[in-house]
Amino acid sequence: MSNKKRVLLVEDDEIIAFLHKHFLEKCGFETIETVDNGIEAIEDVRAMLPDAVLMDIRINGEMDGIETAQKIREFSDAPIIFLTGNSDDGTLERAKLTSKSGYLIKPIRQEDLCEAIAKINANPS
Amino acid sequence: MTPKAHYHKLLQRQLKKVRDKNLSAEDSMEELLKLVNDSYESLDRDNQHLKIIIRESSTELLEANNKLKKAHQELADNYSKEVSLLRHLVDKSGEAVQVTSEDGVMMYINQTGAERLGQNVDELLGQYVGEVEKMFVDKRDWDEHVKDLKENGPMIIEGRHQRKDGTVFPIEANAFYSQQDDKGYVIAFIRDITERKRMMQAMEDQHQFIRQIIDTVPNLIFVKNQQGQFIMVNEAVARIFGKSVEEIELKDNSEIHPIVEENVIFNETEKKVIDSMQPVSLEEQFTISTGEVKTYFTTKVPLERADGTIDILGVSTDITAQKITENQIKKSLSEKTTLLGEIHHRVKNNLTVIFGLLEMQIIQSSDDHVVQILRESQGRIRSMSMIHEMLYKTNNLESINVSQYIEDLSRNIYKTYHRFENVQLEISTTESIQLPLNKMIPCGLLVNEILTNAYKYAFEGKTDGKICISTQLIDYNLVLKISDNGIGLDENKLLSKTQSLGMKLIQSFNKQLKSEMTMTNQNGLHYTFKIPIS
Repeated sequence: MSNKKRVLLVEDDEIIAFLHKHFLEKCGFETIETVDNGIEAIEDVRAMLPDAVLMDIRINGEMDGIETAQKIREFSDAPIIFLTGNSDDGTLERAKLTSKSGYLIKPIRQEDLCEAIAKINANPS
Repeated sequence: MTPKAHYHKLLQRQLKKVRDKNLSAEDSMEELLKLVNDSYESLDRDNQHLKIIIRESSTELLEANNKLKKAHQELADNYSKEVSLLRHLVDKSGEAVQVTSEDGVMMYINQTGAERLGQNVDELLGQYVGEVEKMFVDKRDWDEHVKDLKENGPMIIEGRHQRKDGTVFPIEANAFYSQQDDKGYVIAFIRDITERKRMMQAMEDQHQFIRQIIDTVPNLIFVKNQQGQFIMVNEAVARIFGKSVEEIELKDNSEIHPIVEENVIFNETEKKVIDSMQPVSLEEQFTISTGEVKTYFTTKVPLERADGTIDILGVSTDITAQKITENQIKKSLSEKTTLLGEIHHRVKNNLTVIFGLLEMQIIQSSDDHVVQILRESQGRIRSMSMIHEMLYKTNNLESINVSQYIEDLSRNIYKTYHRFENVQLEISTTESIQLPLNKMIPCGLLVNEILTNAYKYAFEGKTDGKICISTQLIDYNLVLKISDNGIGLDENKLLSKTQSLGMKLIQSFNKQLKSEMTMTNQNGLHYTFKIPIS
């Protein structure tokens, strides 16, 4: 079994998901699964117990990334990194209410992603 | 005492004197003669006196008689004048005066009456009244009329009089029955009402014309009293209620319209009009008699009548078709807005993908110069990507809040060059400035180039510094200032700088923005752009 940290990627754009998966690998993380909606994300967190979740806020389905994170938080402490835009202060405020979480403003650079996951694992809050 | 008695008394007294004194016959004769003489003298005096009295009395009587004759003459003259005046007045009166015997024979008609009938007075007198009054051609109708007057007193009736030439004109007669010397008469003051009838007809025609207009227009027109009853409706109103105009008048909504919820709104609106005495306009839903729900645009106004009562005049226009079209347009607009938002989202995602692809190349590249070029490209892509993101996230697909954008962009660039932790970023922006997409893209790229250059070159060899960005709205121009307190450019570098790709881009964006650019090189670089907003 690999010692790499296992990350669940929640992203509804396949190309962006591919890029983020590549960045995660370069950071030394393993992308265990990529899903595009909240329901599958919750199921996978429950089933696969990832070490972290990279969560786009705007995803397919009725739940957005923040609502999905709140559901996940009911049974899991896995750190969650939200991906959001700049002009979205209200969304960011909602995201910050989720414990043990951080956020990155899209588009992201690989080194920012690595830093964010490392930081949230080092300082869970 | 009469003269005879007087003299008889004197003789009686003389006879007594003769007897008492036993006078001789001669003495007695003398006494008698004396008495006779005295009497003659007395008679003569009385006669004279009487003549005077008679003469005086005769004079007075003559004078009195003359006065009496004169007074009588004056009275007769005055009476004649008054009769003449009265006759003149009656003859020339604006009204015809007609006296008819109980059995219908014309006894008197004034000049006006005769002239109106086109006849002489003499021709008319003695005629049966039915010869001129069409109502009484049948004698039984006249008898009935007389009976009516006797029983019920004076009355005003309308009829039609016929002239000698056969033409007929309308009249109004104020008639009453009168009895003189055991004979009955009908006295009538008759007015020619041709003009009144003509005016009434004109008014009726006008009324019909107005009625035709309001019944022809497709709008609902109605007047309600304060009790909520319709006191006037047009045909359009009657049609939507599925009733006749007569069936609606003097009915309130609840009596003719079963939809309680709609009636509540009608009543509330009308109360508002009365309370405020101001017009009220609104869109109303109304379920017409066929069950179809229509939308009307209704204006209700207070209508003050001549007697001071306040009614409500309402005019409604069926806007059902317009509402359907409006809703379709709204839906279509909403769909297009959503679609446009989706397009911006897609563009932003595509730019994110390009950014990510460049990031992959950066990861794989070992050449610092290539990495630097790719990072600069990433910066330009990000500045464009942010604009598309703001457009779809702020629900304003037309323009961008310049302040918000510049703050976000500046902080992102600052974060990219975080090795300059001691370089302060000072932003002063005016909130209300909006720029359309076609201006925001070059403006964003402009800010990106200048800030990137500042972070890359301004603080070489320095441990700290400051970058200031400000926006102001001056005379419909966005005045954008970006400055640093870095090392600036020496003369040698200035020439090559102006030919660099970054500066060429800045000049290109400036040209695209149609702005005025000034750059000073003193205690750092200072850029000012005056960008017209419209």
